[in-house]
Amino acid sequence: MLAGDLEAYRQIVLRYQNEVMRVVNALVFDLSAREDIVQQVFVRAYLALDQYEPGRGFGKWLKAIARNLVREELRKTLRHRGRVEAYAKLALERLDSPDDEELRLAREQALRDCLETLEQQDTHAARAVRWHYLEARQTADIAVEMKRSAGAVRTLLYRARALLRDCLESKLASP
Amino acid sequence: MKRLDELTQLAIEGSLSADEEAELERLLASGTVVKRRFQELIDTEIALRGLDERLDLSDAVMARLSGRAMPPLSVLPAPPVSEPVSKDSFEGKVERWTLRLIVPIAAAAAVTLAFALFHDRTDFEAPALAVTGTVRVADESGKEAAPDRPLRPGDLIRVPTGAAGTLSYRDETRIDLTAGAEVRVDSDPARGGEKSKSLELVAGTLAAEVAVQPAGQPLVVRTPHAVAVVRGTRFILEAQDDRTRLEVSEGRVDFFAAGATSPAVVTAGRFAEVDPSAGAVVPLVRPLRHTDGLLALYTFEEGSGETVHDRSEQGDALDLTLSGAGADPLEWLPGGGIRFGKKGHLATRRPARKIIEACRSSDEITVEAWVEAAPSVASGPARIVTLSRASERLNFTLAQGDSQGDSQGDPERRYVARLRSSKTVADWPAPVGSATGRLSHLVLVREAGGRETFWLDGERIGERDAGGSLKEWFDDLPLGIGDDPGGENRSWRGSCHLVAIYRRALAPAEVMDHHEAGPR
Repeated sequence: MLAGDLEAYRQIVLRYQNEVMRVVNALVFDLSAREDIVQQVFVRAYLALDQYEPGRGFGKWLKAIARNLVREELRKTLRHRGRVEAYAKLALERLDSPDDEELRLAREQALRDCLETLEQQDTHAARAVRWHYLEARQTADIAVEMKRSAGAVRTLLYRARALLRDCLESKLASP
Repeated sequence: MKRLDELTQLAIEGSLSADEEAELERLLASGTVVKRRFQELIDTEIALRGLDERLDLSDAVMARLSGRAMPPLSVLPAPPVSEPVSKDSFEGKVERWTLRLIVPIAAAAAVTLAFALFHDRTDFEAPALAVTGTVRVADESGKEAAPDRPLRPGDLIRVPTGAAGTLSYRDETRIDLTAGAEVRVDSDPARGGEKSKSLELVAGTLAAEVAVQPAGQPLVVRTPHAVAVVRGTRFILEAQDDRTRLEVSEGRVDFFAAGATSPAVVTAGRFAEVDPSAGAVVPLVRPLRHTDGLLALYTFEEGSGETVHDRSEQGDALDLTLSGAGADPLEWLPGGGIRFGKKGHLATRRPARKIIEACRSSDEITVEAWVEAAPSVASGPARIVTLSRASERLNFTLAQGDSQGDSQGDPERRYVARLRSSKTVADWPAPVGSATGRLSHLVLVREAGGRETFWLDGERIGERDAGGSLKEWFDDLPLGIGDDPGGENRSWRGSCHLVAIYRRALAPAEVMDHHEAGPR
């Protein structure tokens, strides 16, 4: 039975890991901590399965655990880094919004289209975005690869985010 | 808007100062247009962060849960009863999907496991076993199997001295078993229903070259003290009586102490050891020693006898043998290392030509030693590692104490380096008090051109430009440890745990790696 239950739980992890990862990625600044927190979410959920209320969405329950763990991480982060409340507060609101899934899927598709546009507009900025966001690489690491300073990479990302925001909003606004 | 964008970028990077946050709050309170732009930037950021879906963490989660108390299956997501879920809602779809998936999977897994326990396993991919010499295979009951029978779950492979074996899977994963290895095939009952590869290294060493495994089906290797979870990489795993050691040369391995829920992630060029006496803790990951340019390596792991073997595997082995021992010879230390008694030292029987010729040619050298200082020095400098025959014929020495020996009191409490170049052979003393009874890491480095660096415990304690070259080194000197091999009384009574000599100057980062790696 042990094998059976663990394997059943593996299917849960496979099914929900991307959703949990999205919550964790959105809120945790330390790239190296994200993977560990996602794992912790599933371990904590497993150990608290008897507290899960059937009928309450399992994904929602997992995401609630994720948010609690992330809050703990943010408290630790605050001791070492700058202020994150303004960002975290709004990010939590956006993640909790009721229409999040539908909007998220639309936004994700639009973003992928915008990334292709960015590739043509500014190759370096697009590359920095791909490495940072799709491959979770630190700016210092990207700087070495691009033979630029870390500050220059931050500027590239800054420029890319602004271009992507404009592109995204125009795509989402059009019918 | 430009300032809002700047502050938002800082907020996104998590590097907003308190003042800047206050400024951002003021801007956000100034109007809906500003707030809307801030929201759009945050939405873009969340969407960007959501693109990272590269990882399958199920193996890591399963490994963390291994050995955890089992909740009853009935608490896994069940049909909604009190709160009907809309058929079209996302959560509703997930709920139904989950139920459809879990119930049959759990049932199938239980049936498969039961079937596997009592019948031949049809889902088991038997690795092929190729052998050199006589390798013994016994089945689960301990009965010896015919040499040509395909491997079955539960088979135990024993590789005796003088033999070797290789396990090969269809995906070109290859696992070499060295003499002394005992490996049980497919030993993990929790994974019995899968086609994943699973082994138990009961004792000895295996070297694995693992092809990338399918998602959710890593190679799992258990030892009496640890579990290695592998998805595609090269590594060496060694199960000793009192510990398990993992060395990774490519990729990464998740390495768990038995009973632990968090792994050490061991990446290329690093190693970790699980010591069961430390409990179920995350093993410490440390760098592997660098081997490029290695000429001689002594780890003092023999444990008995009068010979210390050169383990560099470079050129002819330059073994050391005990000389001049009386009633109080050297003492072998548990776990590796020697302590010199009142008499006796180690020396090569012939000139250390592979060292001399290589360093003359490269004009560089690194001499490294892990030692505990002698409590006193009768006649200094007492030779720890030396390439010499008496003081007049010396290429290098790492030593303890000044030439004044005991007469000066404190000077015996320091280490000294001496390296002959065509320009100088002057002593280079470390600070007084550097030689203590605790384990210390000493490194002397010379770069081509004559720049020398003296390191103690990962710290640079001296630098100088000695100049000259090594081309005029004496060519007939033996290597000695613990005294001068030429009979001059410079005996050293401390403990030695590792000595290494390189034909090149180790880089500062490499010296620090070796300090972090420790003597084992």
